[in-house]
Amino acid sequence: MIKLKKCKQLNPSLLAGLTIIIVISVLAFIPGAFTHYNPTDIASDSILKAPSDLHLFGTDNFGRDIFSRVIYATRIDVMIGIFSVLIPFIIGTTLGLISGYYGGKIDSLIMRTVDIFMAFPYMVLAIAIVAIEQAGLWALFLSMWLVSWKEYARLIRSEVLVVKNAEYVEAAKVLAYSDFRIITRSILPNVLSSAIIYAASDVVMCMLSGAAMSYLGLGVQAPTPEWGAIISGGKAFLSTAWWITIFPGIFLVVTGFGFSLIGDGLSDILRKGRA
Amino acid sequence: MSDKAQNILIKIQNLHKSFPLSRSLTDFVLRRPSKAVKAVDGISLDIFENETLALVGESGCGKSSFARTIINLYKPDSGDIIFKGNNLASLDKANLKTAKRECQMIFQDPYSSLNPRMSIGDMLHEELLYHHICSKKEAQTKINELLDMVNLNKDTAERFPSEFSGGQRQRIGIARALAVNPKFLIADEAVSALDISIQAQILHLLQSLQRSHGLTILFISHDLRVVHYIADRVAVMYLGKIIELGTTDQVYTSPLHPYTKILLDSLPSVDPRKKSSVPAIEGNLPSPIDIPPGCRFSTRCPNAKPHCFNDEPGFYKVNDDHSCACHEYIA
Repeated sequence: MIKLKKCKQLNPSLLAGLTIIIVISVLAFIPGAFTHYNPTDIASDSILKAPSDLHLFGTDNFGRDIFSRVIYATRIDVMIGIFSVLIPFIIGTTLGLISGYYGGKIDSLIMRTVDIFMAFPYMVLAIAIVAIEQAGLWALFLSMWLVSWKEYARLIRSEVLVVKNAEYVEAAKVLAYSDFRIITRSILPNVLSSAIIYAASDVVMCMLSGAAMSYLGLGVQAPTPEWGAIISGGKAFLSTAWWITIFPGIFLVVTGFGFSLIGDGLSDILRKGRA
Repeated sequence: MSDKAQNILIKIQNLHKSFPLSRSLTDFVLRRPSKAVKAVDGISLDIFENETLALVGESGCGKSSFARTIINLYKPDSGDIIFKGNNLASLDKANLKTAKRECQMIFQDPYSSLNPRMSIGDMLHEELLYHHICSKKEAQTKINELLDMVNLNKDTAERFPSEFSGGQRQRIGIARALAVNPKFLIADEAVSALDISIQAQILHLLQSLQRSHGLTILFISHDLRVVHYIADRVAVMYLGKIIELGTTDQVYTSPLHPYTKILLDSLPSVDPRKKSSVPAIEGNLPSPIDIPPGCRFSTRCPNAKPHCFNDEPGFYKVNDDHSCACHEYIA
């Protein structure tokens, strides 16, 4: 879609964002290379120790090494961020394309469904799903997927409504191209950029709400390390053992910042590509 | 042109196309009749092989809707479009693909007629293979030929639409249309977005391509000078209907319909002292939602008689190739 040769120099925010996310991804892929502590090992002789040479980020009330917990949590949190965006992105984009291109009854049907989902508060939906399913990663994903596809559908639909009247789409129709070919080749590349930009910021939102869900005890369950869950576990010791909450918090903020920078940088490139 | 034996390439019979206006709830409750914009209101027209037929008329008279209905972008409400013996208005899918390939179009706005996300080469490659014009191996040579045909460099293929000027884009548009070997080409205001020197280049290109490819061109324009230059025959359109049809010479030297007379007279003259012989046209084009009863030009016609407001004129043949829809010319 974007030819690499067309954007020879990456802009600074994209570069900074990519650097952060690459570092975070390395942590997520090989956490064992950075710490020799098992993130779930309980050690009764080192409870609530302050950061030191032995425990870089200190330990929690079970004597678990916070550094190792934070590093191991990276994988789950990045996974939550990416997968809770990817699926709704695909579903929402497809529905938005169909809705915008065909119009009429299909359009009404899809858009009224969107309205129904818009009216539903996210947390209530999440709690309802947890009540039906068991609390955990699966319930977390399911609730995220159910609430976030609608944004993509609306965004893509509104862009399709503009693009489908362009003369190059008419030209494609004059060439007797099939609807599928027109949608995928003529329309999709021209409507995708705003959805991609939105997705980059949505990753941050999803990671934060994933952490929030775990904080509330609805998402990832103990003892699996997850930033929101670690923060939640440390809140009782906020005044005495600040390191339990601060370090996962910093990681959450930095990762979110990295994705935001990528979104910002992408939007510059994609908007420039527009004739 | 007119003395040669002519084969009809496209026969359009009583074509209608209207666009219904959306009805509000109050309209529905009060049972107001649903309204529609009658863009094409009963056009019959024969287009001969290898000719350039110009369609002229002011903005909003339905020229573009007519073109888009012929080429199947809009489904006609009624009427027939007979192209090489097949009725395009009711053709099955498989045959429609071939028929559509043979009718191509050049668009008005060179800035929106090319997909900004596709390189010129990819665009041409896609259509060549889609319509089995050539094999994958031959595609690159064919693309180079096409670009050469419209006087563009070979390296054009790798570039994107944003890198070209309006005139170059219009050439690319012509290459796209001709890539699939069409018989019939619609040029919808193809030069009106270009400046005057580029207009001449594109017109020359169209003329030479018409000769080399045996094309039939329907040239839609509001610019009478351009039409005079390129057309063999001229059809004048007013509010969804053709009101005068004749060879270019006939229409330009002895126009019949009062509207055509006024239209030609509105052309700026080289001699500033020359006084206009006909009064300038007054008022605006009536709304195509409420077409006036009787002759549709009666509301603006300088010599309208009482019966013009009630009876709609037929399309009268005045001489060999020259016809007109005005009560004055009843045979």
